[in-house]
Amino acid sequence: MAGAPIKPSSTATAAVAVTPAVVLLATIGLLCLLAPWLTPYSPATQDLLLGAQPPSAAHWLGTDPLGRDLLTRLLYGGRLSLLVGITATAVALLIGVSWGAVAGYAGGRIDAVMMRIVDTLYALPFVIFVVLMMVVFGRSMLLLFIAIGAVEWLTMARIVRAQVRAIKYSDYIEAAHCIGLSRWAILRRHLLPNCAGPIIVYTTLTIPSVMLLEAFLSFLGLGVQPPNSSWGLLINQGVETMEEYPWLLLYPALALIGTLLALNRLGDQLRDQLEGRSRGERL
Amino acid sequence: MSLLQVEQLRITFGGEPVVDGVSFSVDRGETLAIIGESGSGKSVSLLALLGLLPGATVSAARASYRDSVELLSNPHARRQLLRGEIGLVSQEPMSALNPYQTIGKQIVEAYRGPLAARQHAAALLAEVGIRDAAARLDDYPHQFSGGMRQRVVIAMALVNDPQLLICDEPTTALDVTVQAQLLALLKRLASQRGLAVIMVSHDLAVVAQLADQVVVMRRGQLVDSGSPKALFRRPNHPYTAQLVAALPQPGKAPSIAPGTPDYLIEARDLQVWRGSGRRAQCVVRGATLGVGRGEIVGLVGESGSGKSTLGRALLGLLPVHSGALYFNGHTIDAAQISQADRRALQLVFQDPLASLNPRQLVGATLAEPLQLHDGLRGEPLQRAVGALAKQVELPAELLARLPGELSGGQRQRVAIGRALACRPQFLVADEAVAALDLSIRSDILRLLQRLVAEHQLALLFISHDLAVVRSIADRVAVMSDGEIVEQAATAQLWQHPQHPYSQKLLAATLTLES
Repeated sequence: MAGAPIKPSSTATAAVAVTPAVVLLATIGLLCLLAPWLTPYSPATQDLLLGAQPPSAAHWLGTDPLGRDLLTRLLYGGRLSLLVGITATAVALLIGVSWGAVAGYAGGRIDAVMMRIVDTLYALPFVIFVVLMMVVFGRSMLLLFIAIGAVEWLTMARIVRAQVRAIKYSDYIEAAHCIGLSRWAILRRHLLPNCAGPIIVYTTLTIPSVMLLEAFLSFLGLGVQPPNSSWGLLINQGVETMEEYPWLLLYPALALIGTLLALNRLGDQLRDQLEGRSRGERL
Repeated sequence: MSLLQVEQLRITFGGEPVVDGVSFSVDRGETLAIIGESGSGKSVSLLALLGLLPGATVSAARASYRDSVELLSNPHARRQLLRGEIGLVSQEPMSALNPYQTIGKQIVEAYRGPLAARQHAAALLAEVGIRDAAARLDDYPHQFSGGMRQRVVIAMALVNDPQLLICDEPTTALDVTVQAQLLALLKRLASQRGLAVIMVSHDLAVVAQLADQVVVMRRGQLVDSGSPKALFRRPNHPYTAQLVAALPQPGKAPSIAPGTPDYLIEARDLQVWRGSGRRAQCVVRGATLGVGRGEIVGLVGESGSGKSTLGRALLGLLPVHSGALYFNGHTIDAAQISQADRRALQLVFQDPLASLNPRQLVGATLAEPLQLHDGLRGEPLQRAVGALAKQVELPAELLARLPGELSGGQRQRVAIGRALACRPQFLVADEAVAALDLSIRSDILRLLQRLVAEHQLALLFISHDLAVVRSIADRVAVMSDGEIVEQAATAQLWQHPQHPYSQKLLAATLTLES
C-alpha cells in the first residue's frame, strides 16, 4: 500500500483473518438474521396436540411442550440476544471509553471526582437498580439495554483510565504535545488507538456477559417477556424440563456457549494481530 | 590448550542462519572481546553456546570447555558448568536483579560452596568495591545506583568462583565516569582471579581498554580478529575500518566559528522544579545558557544532573520557577505558549521507538504537524511528506510501515523528520544517538549537522557521551547537579578544562589514544 494516501489519522488496520471463530460467528449471525426466510414455522404458533417432540425430520431440533418448533425459537431468540449483547455493549463502550479516557488524561481533581462517581455506581446492587428502573419507567426493551449498558460501562471506564494513565507520560505523547497538538487531538489520535488492545478484548468479553445478564433478568421476569424469546429465556425454560425433554436445554445452551467461546477467541485474535504488528513482529 | 574453544559455530532459527562459521577461543587470564552492531549475532552466539536460547539449532565443529567438556553434545555437563565455572553478567543491571529480594540473598542464591553464605556474600561485595559491604547485604536493588547494581551483578556471577566470566554489554547502560570504574574493576578481577573474560560490546573504546583479543562480527559472520592495537591501527576488513572511522576521535572537532553573541534562545538564571507539594525538587538551579542560529551547543553531564529537564524547560514544555527565558527577543511561558512558538521549538528523543506512536504509520506521523500547522490536505500533503522523507534520507516505501517495523536508525530519522515538519528554529536533541549502533550513530550525527547548516537551526545536543559531543558541538556546557559549571568552545574545553568536575569527566572518557 505504498501509494495509498496517508492521513494523520491513519493507523494500522489489519484485516481480520478468517479463523474458525470468525466463521462460526458469521454463520450464527446470518442464520439469526435470516430466520423469517429460513424456517417454515412461526416462533409463537403453538400446537398443543403435538406437544414436546424430540428432534425429527420435520422439527430438526424438536419442539417444546407447547408444540413450538425449537429451531425457529432459537433463531428468533438469537436475534434478540445478539441485539441486546451488541447494543448494550455499544452503550457501555461509548460511555466507558469516553469517561475513562477523560478521567485518565485530565488527572487530578477531575479524575478523582469522575472515578468516585464510578465507585458509587459500582456499589449499587444491580438487581435493585434494574427493578427500580422498571417500576419507574415501566417495562421496555430500550430500558433493558440502558440498564445493562449503564452497569457494564463502569468496568470499561476503569480499564481505559488505567491504560491512559499508563501511557500518558510516554515519549510519544510528549512528542505530540511538542509539535503543538491540542489535548483533544492527542487523546483521539495518540492515546485511544494505543488503548485499543484492552478495549477490544474487554468488549468481546462484555458481549457474552451482557447476554448472560439478559438471561438472568429474563429469568427474574424483568427482561424479555414471552411470547418473545431469547437464548437466556430458552435455557431457563429448558432447565425446568431438563429431565423429560433434555433437547430443550441442550441446543439453546450449545448456541450460547458456541457464541461466547467464539467471541472470546475473536478478542484474543484481534489483540494479537494489533499488538503483533506494532511490536514489529513479521514472522 | 584453551579454556573455551569454539570452531565453526552455526546457529539457525527456524532454518534461517543467524550465526555462521564463527570461531574463537579464550584462555585463563585472557580477555576476549566480541564486537559488532546489534543484530550481528554476538550475544546470540554466547547464549546459544550456553544453551540459554530455546528454539535455536546450534552446531559447531568444536565447542569444548577445558578440552574435556563438549558443550553442545552434553547439556547436562553444560548445566553443571553454568552453576559453577561460568559466570554471566548482563547488560541491564536493574532487570537482572529481583526487586523484591535483598541483594545479600540474591548473590548467594546459587552458592554451593562450604563457607557461610552471608560472610561469602559480604566478601564478594567487598571484592567488587562496595563500601560497607556487610551492612548493605540487607538492602534492595533500588537502593543502589546503576553502577553499584552492576557491581552487585558481577558479585553474583563470581559466587561459585568461576573460571570464565561472560559479560554482555556490561557498561552500556552506564555513565562514562561509572563506566571507567567498572572497567577498572573487571580488569582487576581478571588479573587477580586469573579469570577468562568474554566481553560482548558495541563500544570500541571500551574494548580497546580491556581486551587482549578482539573478534569483529557482522551479520552473523566473523569478519576480523586480532589484538585491539593491531586491529585499530590496520583493520583487515572494510567493516572494521568503518567502525574505527565512525568512532569520534580526539582532535577532529569541526572548526566552525563559535556562535554570535546574540542568541536565538537564551535562558538567564533559570530554575526548574519537578514534582509537586512536599516531593518537589529543584532540578535545575540557576542555569544561564544561550544558543545562536546555526550553532550546535553540547550539554554534557551525568544522568540525573538535570540536562533533560533544562532542555525541556528551554522548549517551553516545563514550567519555569524563576529566571527568564527569551526566544527570538520575546519571553516564553510554558503555560501560555503561542502556537507559532510551539512549532518553532522542537525535540528529538533518546529512544526513537518510545517517541513514536506505535499504532501510527510512519507517513502519518510525518503528516501530522504538516496538517496541523500548514493546513495541508490531499495531494500537497502527500508531496510534502515525500519531500520530508527525502530530507531525512528515509526511503519512501517505509512511509506505510509502523515504527516497530523499522530499524533503530530509520526510527530516529522519522523522529527527526517529525520535528523538522514543524519547521523549527531551535531543536533539542536529548541523547538522540545514545540508543543507536556506532555506525548508524555517525550517519545520524551527519544528518543533524547538515540540517543545522541548511536551515540555520539552533541545536542543543544533550549527551552523556563526551566523545560524540566533541565530534559535533561548537560549544559545550558542562552540567553537574543542576548547575552549569563550565561553558567553553569545544576545543578549549578539551584542552583546558577549568572546573574540577569537567576535568574529572574528561579524564574518565575513553578514547583510542588512552
